[in-house]
Amino acid sequence: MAFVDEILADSPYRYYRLGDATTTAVDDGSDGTDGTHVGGVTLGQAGLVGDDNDSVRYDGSTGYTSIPKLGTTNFDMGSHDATFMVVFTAPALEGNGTLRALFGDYDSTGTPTGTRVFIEEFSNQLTLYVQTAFTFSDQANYRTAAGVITAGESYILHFVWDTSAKSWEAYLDGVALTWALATPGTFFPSVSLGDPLYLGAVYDPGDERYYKGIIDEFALWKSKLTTTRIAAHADAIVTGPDMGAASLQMALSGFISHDQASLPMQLSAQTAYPAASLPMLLESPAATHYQASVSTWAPLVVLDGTDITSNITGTIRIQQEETASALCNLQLIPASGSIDPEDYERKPLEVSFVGKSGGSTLYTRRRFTGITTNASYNPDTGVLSIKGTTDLQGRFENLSRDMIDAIVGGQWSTHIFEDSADGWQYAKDRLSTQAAEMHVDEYGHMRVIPWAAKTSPDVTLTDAGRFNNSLSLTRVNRRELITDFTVNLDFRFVRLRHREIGVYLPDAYGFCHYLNNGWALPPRSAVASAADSTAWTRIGDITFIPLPGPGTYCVPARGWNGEADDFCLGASWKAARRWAQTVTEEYSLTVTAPDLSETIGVQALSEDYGIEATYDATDYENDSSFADVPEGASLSVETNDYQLEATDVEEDGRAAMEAAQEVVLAKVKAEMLGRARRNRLNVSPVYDPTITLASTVRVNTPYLVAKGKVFGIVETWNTQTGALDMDLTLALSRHGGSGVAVDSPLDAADQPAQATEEATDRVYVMGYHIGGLTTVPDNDEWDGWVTNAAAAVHVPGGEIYRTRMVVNMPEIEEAARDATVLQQPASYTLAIPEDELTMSN
Amino acid sequence: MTEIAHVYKDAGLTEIFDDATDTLATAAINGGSGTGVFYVGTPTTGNKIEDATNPGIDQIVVSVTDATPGSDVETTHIKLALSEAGLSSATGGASLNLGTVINHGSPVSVWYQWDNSTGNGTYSDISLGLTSRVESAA
Repeated sequence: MAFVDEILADSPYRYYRLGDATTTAVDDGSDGTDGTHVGGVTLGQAGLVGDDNDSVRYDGSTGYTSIPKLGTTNFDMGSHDATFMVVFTAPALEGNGTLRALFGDYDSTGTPTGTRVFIEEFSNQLTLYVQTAFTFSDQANYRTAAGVITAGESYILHFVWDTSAKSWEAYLDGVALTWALATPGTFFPSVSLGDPLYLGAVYDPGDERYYKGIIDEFALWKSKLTTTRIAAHADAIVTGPDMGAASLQMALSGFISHDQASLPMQLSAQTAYPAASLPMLLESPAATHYQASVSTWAPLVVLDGTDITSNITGTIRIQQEETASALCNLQLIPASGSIDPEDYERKPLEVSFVGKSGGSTLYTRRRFTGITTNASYNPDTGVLSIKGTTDLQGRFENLSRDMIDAIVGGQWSTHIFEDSADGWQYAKDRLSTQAAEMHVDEYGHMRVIPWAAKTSPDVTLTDAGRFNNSLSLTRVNRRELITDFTVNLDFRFVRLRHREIGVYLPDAYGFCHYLNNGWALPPRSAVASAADSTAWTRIGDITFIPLPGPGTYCVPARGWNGEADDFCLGASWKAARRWAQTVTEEYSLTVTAPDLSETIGVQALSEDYGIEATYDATDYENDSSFADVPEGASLSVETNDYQLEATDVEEDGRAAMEAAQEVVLAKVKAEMLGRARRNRLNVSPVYDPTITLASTVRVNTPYLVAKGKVFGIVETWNTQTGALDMDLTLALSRHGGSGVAVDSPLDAADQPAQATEEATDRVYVMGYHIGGLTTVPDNDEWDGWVTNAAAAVHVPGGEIYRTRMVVNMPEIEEAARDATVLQQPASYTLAIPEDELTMSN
Repeated sequence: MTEIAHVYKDAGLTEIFDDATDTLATAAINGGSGTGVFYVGTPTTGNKIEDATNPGIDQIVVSVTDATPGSDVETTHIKLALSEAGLSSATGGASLNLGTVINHGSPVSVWYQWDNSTGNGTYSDISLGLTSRVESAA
């Protein structure tokens, strides 16, 4: 049933639908007494109940609808039930205490008599407020809880008088409301007994409380409607505009058009290679042969795949040494025919020695695998001399750094070594961070061998004498030794800083000083302009201290009508400043070898390195568009600022610097260990084909016992005598001290602590120069809100300040801006190995 | 001379292995061990090596072969690994997977170790096999 039909079904006494085209408010009720639209009313507004009947908008200041009085007995609340129904749109929030009347009659010749129904703003929310009165001293008040009504929403209100209970009941949208305040009176006046009833206001001359909003449908019954009927009224409203947002799914069938296509083909040719078999040569020298007092040997020389052993003459000399190419010199008599030495150059060369017994081969032992470099022919002797090398350097020259990393190992940093180094230098740089050497072994394999002598020697050489007087020991010159190696490493970088300050223009005087003295309030626009006119960047919005709403304030009481949103009593915001500071961390890393200094005293050496993390902070310092702390920055307890280290490239950053520290520390360690093993023991034992540069050899004689890694080997085969000789050089690491030193981890030093800066305020509170003084001259150094315009009006000729809002943000102190230097020493202990060495006579 | 494609004596892939002149050699005293290394890769820029049977799927494999089982050196005396350090945990006689693809610039190191329990002498009954391969543009 349509709304109007539901209402008419209950036979209202009066029924004003308010869809009037003229100022006559037509009564569709049984009484048929029309009313009149008066003042600021706008007819023809869209209705609120879902039909085509219009409604009336009341302007809140002069508009109302006057309804003729209801009469003496019709609405006598002392003996009659009654129901009022009104459909309305709730007014907007305007300030606590605002009363907007839906309808009412409250005056009879100046005495409060009657009933008035309001929408009241209470606790910043809307509520229904009803007041009935018989006299000044007998007023009844009813109020629902705040928030029952929402500004701008439409409702249907039934207002029911139950005369037996002598109380008002209210139904909003058909649902009974509970009174939060209910103070019934003693007597119960009639509604609109002798006065008209105003709709959209109260008939109370001078205190009409005009409604501000739309009212549609106003009906009166001289009876109490049942809750069922009240609900039926509410249910009959069709709330078209408030149906809420809807999501309408769309089914769209798309057709995508594609052009004719060309499909490229990539045909990759493959080259097939069959499975391969790689022959192995496994050699095992027989100790019973090579340790015999007399051993028989024969050379086996293969040049470019051809066995040229029968052409060999003179000597074959193979010389090997740590971290160097092995060299092989040999002579041969070429086969008859033309001779071109170049035919013998850049050819693979393999030299083995064959253990013989009675003409039989016991085993072979490769001793050199390399390439010939130079051949020279002596036409006088008919001998061709050939030089071969394992070409250690050449093998690294063209290797990728990845391969070198895999072969050599060690550590590397662009801050310690030359980035543009070739493969050989790069390999040596990596090797220099290890206590190790590298060489090409007898089979042509590249080897990296630790310097440290093995606990159990690979070979022990014994002799009752002095190895035919071949024993000799050369001690390292003490001036070559290092006991204290200091690395001075400066790390320079840019520290981005971000300082935040709370800025306050406090409410220093309070609202009443302004109100009572007529002082000029700070305009919000002036505050905002001043806040944004400094070198600092405002972060977030300005929080203004607002002026109070309309009302009576201060002592003596003064009226205040509000409406001063452009001004404030104070304000606050957060401001930030960014700048860059150059920081240099000076690391002093000292590696000491106490066992060595115990013996030789302190012999110090130092090296200097510098790492600069470049960063152009211009954009950082000039940017004022930020709204937060820099990403990754953290608040420093030393400076109370947000900080962040900056670098253009990671290779220059802290992690790279710390890695460089560890690289240089490893390099220092290797340097110190390398110098400590420059003691050389030379011995010429009976030829032992198992000894290589990777071997640890112990020499045991009555006069000397020593153990060390092989540093160099010279092997000589004499064709004429058939003798195969060997000269060994062992490297012996020695310190001569008590040997109590223990290696400390060579980790990067801790980052030096940042100096605590002198504390400065992170709060800036502005002042006021405001009020009645006109005898104090204006001062350009004043900050905050400056005005004495109001006083100047009353003191002609006085000093009139230039009204202004001044924000003087503090400067960043020099200590925070200037380059700073932080020092960080660190010490490390190195244990020098003590290789076995005892001597006697 | 028969050069074995993709097998090099040096990490720079400049000295190709020739089975007529080269051997994978090492020495070990009786009871000791000897090691060696060779490299598998392609020096041709932009190329890759794959197994010939199922390119990109099957592994390129190095295996140990004994020409005289039961005498001289046995396959179980030979260990293979992709690094020198890996030899210590390798199983004697086990094959070694080199990967399904070996790209130019990333040659694979093949380390071998002979654990000599055979005795003194010079032995050539052991060889290492390399599966058939195809080389194509990567």
